[in-house]
Amino acid sequence: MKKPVHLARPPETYDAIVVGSGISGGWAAKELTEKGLKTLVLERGRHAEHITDYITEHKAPWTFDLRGAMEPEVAEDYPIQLRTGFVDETIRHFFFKDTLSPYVEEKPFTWVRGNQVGGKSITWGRYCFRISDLDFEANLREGIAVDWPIRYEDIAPWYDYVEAFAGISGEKLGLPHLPDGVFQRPMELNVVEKALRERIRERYPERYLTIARAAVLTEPIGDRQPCHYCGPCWRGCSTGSYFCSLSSTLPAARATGNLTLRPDSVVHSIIYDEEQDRAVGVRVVDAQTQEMLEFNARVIFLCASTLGSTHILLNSTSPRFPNGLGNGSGVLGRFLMDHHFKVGASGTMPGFEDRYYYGNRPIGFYIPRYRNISPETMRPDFVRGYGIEGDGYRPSWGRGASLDGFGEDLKQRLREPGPWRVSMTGFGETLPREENHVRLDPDQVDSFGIPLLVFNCGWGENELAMRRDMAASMAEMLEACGGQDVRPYDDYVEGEVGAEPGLGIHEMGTARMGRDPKTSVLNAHNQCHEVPNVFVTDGACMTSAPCQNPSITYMALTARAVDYAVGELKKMNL
Amino acid sequence: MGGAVSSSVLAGLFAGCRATPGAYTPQTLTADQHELVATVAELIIPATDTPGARSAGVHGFIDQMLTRGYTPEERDHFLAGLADLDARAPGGSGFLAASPEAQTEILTTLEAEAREARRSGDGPPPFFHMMKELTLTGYYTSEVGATQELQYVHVAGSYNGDVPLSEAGRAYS
Repeated sequence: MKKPVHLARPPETYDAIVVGSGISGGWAAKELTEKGLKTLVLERGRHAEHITDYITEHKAPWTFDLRGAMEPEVAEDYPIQLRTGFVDETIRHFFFKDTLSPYVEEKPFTWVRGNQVGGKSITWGRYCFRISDLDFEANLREGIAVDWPIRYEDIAPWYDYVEAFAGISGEKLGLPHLPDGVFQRPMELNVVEKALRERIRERYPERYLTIARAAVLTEPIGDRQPCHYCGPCWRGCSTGSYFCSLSSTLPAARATGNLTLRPDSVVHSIIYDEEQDRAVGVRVVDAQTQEMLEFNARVIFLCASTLGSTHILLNSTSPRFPNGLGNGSGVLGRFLMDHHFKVGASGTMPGFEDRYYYGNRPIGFYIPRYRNISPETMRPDFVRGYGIEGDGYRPSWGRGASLDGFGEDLKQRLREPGPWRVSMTGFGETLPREENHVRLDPDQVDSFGIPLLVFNCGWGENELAMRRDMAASMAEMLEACGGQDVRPYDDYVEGEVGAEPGLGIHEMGTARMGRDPKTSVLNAHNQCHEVPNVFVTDGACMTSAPCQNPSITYMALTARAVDYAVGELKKMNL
Repeated sequence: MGGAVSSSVLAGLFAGCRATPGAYTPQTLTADQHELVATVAELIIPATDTPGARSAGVHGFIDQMLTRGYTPEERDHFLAGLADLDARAPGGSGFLAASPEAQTEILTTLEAEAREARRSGDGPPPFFHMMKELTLTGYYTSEVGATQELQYVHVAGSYNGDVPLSEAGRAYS
């Protein structure tokens, strides 16, 4: 039902509007402004700036009264964000207060959200892996969902482009299913990881262990400095050593003079003009004043995060689009995916007792997918595959609680680092399923007058079968390579939190790309089939969920889509 | 608590071991409980060639956790466990009046009971496990513990993945 609009002041007009300022929004802002468009970036969260807002960067643990623990009354505002296990007092200022904008879980779904300029690009994991034609062709080959409307050759030059600007450190491996990128010098594996890498090569010819490819610099880019190994990137980095909107894309956009950034701007809906048959702008609820405002533009980029963008589209109803803007297909909100994870194995690695390391390396190692990548590696029990994130390390004093004893002996033991351990966790591809979806609640609205999102998403048989292999395979690999006391684990509990959808924080789908407007929302250029001046370039666009960490793909698709959109604008097609 | 020995005597006995005059005033623990917690923490992580838990202000951290970091149920559970520990002292004179040997024996027994309780499953964490974890966290994240007992590598500048342990020295905090 359309909410009556009372405007606080006359609408402002721009060449382009970008909704969201995170991983993809920052890129849309940079590309649009650099191509000369007066661009308004609307961010629902608070203002935040590079350096000044990194309020806990480099703070020593003793400067926190509770050493990072959150007070129970404070924790009550973050019940969902706390499920991640890493949101604590040191970084909660970068996360969404769940009590401010609740959602409905028909099945458990952990929706992790940022709430400031820069979005989740401040706290993200920084791992970047290209997806390949093995991934782009999978739906078509297996008769699942719909075919991607693009192939690797369409996106490859754009991966080159965004990687060069963002700065990705990594090692080339020449693997067709994990294409090499434009890399800075890779970070170093430690002594145990190097040994593990050799042992894996000896025993498993189709497997590789490499240092993670990550958006963390080992070489300077402009005035962004290489990593200084202090550890917690997610608190913010004043030297710009990892890719973040605040340090990278937004400053570039600002430098053009074409950027207007408006925080505290909750986009309610896109304004669709029936007569002109185009989107003409957006309605915004000001988060501070609750005023309803309108902004107009010739082209709109939705980069509000997967569910943020789809939420806006679902709420943009009109006589032409009663089920949401551009939703003639009916698939808007459907085919929701995430990477399933929190499954793997760990153990000790004896033989290196006299070795240690120096410095807090902010990334670990990666084992690229080795299942279903060739005729020899095809599995009978599941399709698609998983990537493995891991780490070799020596536990410090934290292991003391599980050691027996107290007093001088315990203190002396804890002066030494513990035995070497290797832990591995897999990130698994999830198949696109129509029943996994979000929709608008028919009755409840949030404090901005926007209907709540209802989630119904669960893992299917392919995911569960894959998880059984993930735990068993990682345990087997560790043991074969000298690991002792190896324990597999799987945190998934049906119907409960533990390894629920959303926890991977790689939620994707719900406004998928496809060749046919009857079965997809977006075309090969991330352009709404039915509303050509609206583009969606965040995770919502994904037609499948390849196991590679997806943010670099969103960056590449965004830059590519802006290039296309500006070309179309110049040809007067938009 | 206290028993035959008055609080003021206790205060005098232990004043020399307190970090600095005018230091932390407990908000949940009474002065006696604060002293008891400091003593137990010091037994868990004693002064050796580096300062122990008392100098690191662990008892102040524990009081902060009880005041602001715990729910009322968790706080009550801890305080009940503390009272139970105190009641185990021989002759009913309280833990602080017991000999160091008797104190160590009480903690050893509590640890064994805690291990057994954890093995048999649910319920809130045993008092001794709470106390030990609070002590370890409070000590090794304190400036004393992190920088003097262990190595605090704040901004390393570089990463070396293969360093002889003998060269590195102590564990990193």
